[in-house]
Amino acid sequence: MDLKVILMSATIDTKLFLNFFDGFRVQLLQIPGRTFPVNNYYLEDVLEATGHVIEENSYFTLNGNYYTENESSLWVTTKGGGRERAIMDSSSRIFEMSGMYSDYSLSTRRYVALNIDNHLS
Amino acid sequence: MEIVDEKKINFDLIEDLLIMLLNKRQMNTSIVAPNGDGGMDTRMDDGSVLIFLPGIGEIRALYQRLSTSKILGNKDQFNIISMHSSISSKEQKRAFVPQKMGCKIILATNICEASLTIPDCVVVIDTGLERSIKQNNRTSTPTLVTDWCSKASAKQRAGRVSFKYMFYTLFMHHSHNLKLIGWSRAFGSML
Repeated sequence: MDLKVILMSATIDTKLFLNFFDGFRVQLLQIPGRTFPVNNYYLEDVLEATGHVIEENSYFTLNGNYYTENESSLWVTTKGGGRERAIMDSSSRIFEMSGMYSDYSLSTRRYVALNIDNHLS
Repeated sequence: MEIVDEKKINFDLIEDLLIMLLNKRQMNTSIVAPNGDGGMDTRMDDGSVLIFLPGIGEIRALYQRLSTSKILGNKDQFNIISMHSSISSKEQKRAFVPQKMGCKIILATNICEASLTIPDCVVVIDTGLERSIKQNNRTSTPTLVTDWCSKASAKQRAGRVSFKYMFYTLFMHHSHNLKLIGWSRAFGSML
């Protein structure tokens, strides 16, 4: 009987191939390799570390109509059917939305914090 | 408005980041994680930096910029190499030669993402963008679009760091989850 050995890199989906060769009595042999732990730093970390300044309304900022007003209001329906007008101003929103960026400096939060809101809406 | 548009490649920021990494080396201190979780001692003269860009245009622009830079333009210390399918293989081979002095800065597209490994790469900077051929449904013609790479690509790019890790992305942490798709829809569209 011929022995067939298929050599593959670690990124292969072994289950898929085992299922495909099902009935041929396939054995899987795994040789573990070293992987290096990778530290990920995202944009907010880069901005924080470099202290890079992005100017207002420059090419690198979002030039949409997102939060161009300092204040936004919404109607809140309260229990019993009454309506209330709530006013939020954008400076307080920065802090509300940036709970996950609480360790970052104010300038970094200004660059990234409101962006969360843009994605969700 | 001062909210960052992650899709615009900020060459200033890349240069600032490179200089920051360099300054840390000159002060002979280890690069500490900006968020305080303690980085390992990675020095830039230990190896090379790999920067992922979407295409040849961006590679040329960044090459121009870095080579005219006051600090990074120093030819003795920094070897700036472009990696793109349109660049001759002789030129590309320079990326694999270990550097005796200084460090290599390799500007690449997603050709460096898989199958080839830069042996001494210690820092990867990823713009998170790639250019691929996608079908335009309205005109039913294939078009070249710059878009977010997939999560799988981002992971692969992070894995290009061969030892002692450092991976910098130029998009936000939450964007990784919200904008990037799991797997690339375009297949075999390496540029």
